[in-house]
Amino acid sequence: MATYLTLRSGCKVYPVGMDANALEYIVRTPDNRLYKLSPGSHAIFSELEMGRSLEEVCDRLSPRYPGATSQELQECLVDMYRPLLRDMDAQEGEQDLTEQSVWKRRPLLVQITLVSERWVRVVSGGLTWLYRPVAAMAMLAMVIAAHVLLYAGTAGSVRSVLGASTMVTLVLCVLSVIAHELGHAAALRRGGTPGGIGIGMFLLMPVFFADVSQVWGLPRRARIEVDLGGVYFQQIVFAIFAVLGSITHIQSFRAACLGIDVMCLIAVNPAFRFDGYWVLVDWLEIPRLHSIAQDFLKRLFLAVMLGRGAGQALLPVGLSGVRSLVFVLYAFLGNAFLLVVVLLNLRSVRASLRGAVIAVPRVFHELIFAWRTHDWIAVANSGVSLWFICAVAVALLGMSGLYIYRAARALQQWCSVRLFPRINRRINPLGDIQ
Amino acid sequence: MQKQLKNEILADLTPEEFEPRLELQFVLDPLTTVMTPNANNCAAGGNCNVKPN
Repeated sequence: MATYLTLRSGCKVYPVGMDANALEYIVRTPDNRLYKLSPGSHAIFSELEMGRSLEEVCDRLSPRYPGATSQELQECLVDMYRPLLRDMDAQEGEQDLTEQSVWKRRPLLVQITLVSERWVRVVSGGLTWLYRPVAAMAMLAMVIAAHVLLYAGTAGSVRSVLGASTMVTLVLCVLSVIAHELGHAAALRRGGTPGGIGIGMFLLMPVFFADVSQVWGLPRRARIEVDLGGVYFQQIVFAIFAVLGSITHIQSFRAACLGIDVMCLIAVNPAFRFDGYWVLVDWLEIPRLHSIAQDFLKRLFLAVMLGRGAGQALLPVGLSGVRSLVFVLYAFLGNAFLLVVVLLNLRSVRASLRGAVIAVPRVFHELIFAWRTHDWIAVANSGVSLWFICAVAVALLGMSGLYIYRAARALQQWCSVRLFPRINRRINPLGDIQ
Repeated sequence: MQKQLKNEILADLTPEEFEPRLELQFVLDPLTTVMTPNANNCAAGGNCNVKPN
């Protein structure tokens, strides 16, 4: 009896891309997961949708994979496409897709959604006009003028903002970060549905996030606009703060402007998993860029040092010209930069902890004094300072511990595979096919 | 079926699930992170025995 497979209810296949010759296909599931179909799997889906049976499809497929029988291919396909396809004759049962996901659904250490998807959709929908060409040109001109205004004189120097209030500056910086996240959401709103906005801990550092998982379903250019939308909106806030600072002479506006520029510069660095990384991911069209770059370095090292895999293509399929050069540069410089950051981080832990040991008692005494004199603004100011000094120290310690743990785990795995393969095989009989 | 062949089929035909994507931005407080050494009267490098100019 022939088996007929069809898409699970709620799943939808749609093309992505502007060029009809280079269309990619994506499947969206009812719980908003996105799957990319390879050309081979899209051909299989099309044949199944045309009404061919699984047996017919596998008969046509088996010459491509000599060594696998049609029956084995059928089992393989049913297993692979289980999240997306179902047997037409079988009752569609409840399926727990959460267990099947290859990704963690909550990538951050702590992840709390503050603004729900519904509200983000409403607010970001009202901000999409900022992406119209005329508005964008005007805003960029304003941002450049604001930078000249702030940095042309001494207004942007460190000394000029020493009297700024910690609490006011922090509130202004947080406002700019919220605008940053709204920038991503508004860019996505033009062609997709943004998720919630919230706070979390990334490597023990407090971060804001915007869920833009639906961005994978947009064309390349639109994805890059979503990636850059955060910095664009945060720079608009910079311009507003710079103008307010020059009118009111409140130093916190200037301090916040400095903070915004530092945050934006760090955000566009592709070595970290911030905006710059996603710009590269989308431009190169390599979704798992970081792990693929590490894999490239590993295979290059094996080919050069040990002669293993010599003659095989090292670069990802489809990369050529400038994009392959950028990929190689990212693989070397990005990983080298991360290594340097880790080493500097280890060095700075001691200095930061020593600084914290000196600063914490001083700020704590300021807090107590302010409390006794009922100076509530000073209480809040000292409290925020104390929290940040402690958070930096704890984050540095935590990150260092995490890196050491990961390095130890990688070493242990390497030892178990390379040095004690027999023991490993006995424990893990499936070997590399997982 | 050989492991290598099975791996090849999986690589060719498995639909790739996109990872959930969060655009992150950390919160930097310039006064406590950049200017704390000035506030402490410590020279660069955290040496508090030397006053800055």
